[in-house]
Amino acid sequence: MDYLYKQDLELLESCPPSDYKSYNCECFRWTFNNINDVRNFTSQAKRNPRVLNSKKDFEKCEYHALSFHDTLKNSIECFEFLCNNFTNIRKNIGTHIAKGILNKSDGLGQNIIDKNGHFNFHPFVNNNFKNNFTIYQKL
Amino acid sequence: MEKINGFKIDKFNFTLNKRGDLIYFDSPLLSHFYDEDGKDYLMQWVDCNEKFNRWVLYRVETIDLFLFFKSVKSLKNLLVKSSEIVFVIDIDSDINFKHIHVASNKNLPKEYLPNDKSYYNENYYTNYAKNLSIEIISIVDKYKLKGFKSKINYKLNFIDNVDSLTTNINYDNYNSLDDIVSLKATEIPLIILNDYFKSEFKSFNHLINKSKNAYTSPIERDSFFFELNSILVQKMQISNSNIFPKKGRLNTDQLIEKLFQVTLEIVNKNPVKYKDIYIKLLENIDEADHRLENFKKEKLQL
Repeated sequence: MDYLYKQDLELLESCPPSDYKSYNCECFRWTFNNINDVRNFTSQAKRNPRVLNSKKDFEKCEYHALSFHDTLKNSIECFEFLCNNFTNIRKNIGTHIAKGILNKSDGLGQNIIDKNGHFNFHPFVNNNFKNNFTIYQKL
Repeated sequence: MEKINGFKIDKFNFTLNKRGDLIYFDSPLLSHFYDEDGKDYLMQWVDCNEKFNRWVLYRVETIDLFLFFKSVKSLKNLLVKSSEIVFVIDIDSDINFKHIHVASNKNLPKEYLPNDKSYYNENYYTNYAKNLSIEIISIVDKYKLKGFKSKINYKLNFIDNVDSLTTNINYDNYNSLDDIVSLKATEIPLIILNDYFKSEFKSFNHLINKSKNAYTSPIERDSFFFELNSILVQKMQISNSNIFPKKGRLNTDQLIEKLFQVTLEIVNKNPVKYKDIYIKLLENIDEADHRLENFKKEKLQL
């Protein structure tokens, strides 16, 4: 299965890392209000490269990935942490939480090692995020 | 985006290099930079519109990073109380610093400031931040400097004055001739390693810049060797060196040997490029420096 950002990933070493795995579970992502908003499931390096702060950032694998959380609680708590540090954060990452199912055909993600339940996910070209995710609540 | 009260400049009068991201979700939000003198900066995302993302860049002292990682100071404290001068930077899609304003942190829009709860929380900070906190806490704790600012009323540069301040805490630590020789011995190996690995990572470049302060400050010197050890362990798979004995002075002998071992491997892989500079290094090594006996000319496989 080809990655959505295959051309970019091919230029990077070990991207995604070899220990990334398939997911088949419910998870949560910060999005904008309309689930069809093109920004919702596009990596920052593609949709908003000006959010990077060094030209070297293009060489970092994680900027071509999407961020998800394993539980609603983790998603909300993480957002509250960001609000404490970045007042305008809604302009950057979104205004709502979308809930959905990640399937094997959607891509590969990292093992959740942080207590905050966050994981990076590299989408395949045939991902079905827009059909599998719905807006769940406002942030 | 908000209008900035300040004056515009075309470019910085220093070179900014990125070390890593402290907070990252989908993209960097708080990043750690350094300049050619090894001084530390934080760059914090604050705003965006259709064309630009806006960041605030400001200087931070080692002691303030220590207090931040110890949750004594919040991110808001770092921004509003550390350095009065800040840079407000608008970055475009090609990662060009399109507009740079010099401003006072007192004049920043309220929504550009973190709130009072913005304390370090390792659950949400990156692994880079966790490693940096270990590095800084290890170094500053070693000097028993907790509560330093409350004991001594100083508004001077912490690092520049640390030599005189350390005498006040009765700790026999200053840069001896041995320390200077050790620092000097790292110069050319770091130049070679930085050149060889420059397309892969910038860690050796950071050390080259950091070494300038290490000659005059024992804290910066210890920080330099701590970081060198970490890089050799993490990037070169070299075994950890115990450079901080429980008692006594810094012990860099083992670390310097490993640095030379790694450098010699690179030189032997690329003799045409690195042989001359390596031989120059060997010619300048103090004959009495027994640590480097194993790395003299006969080890070059030419």
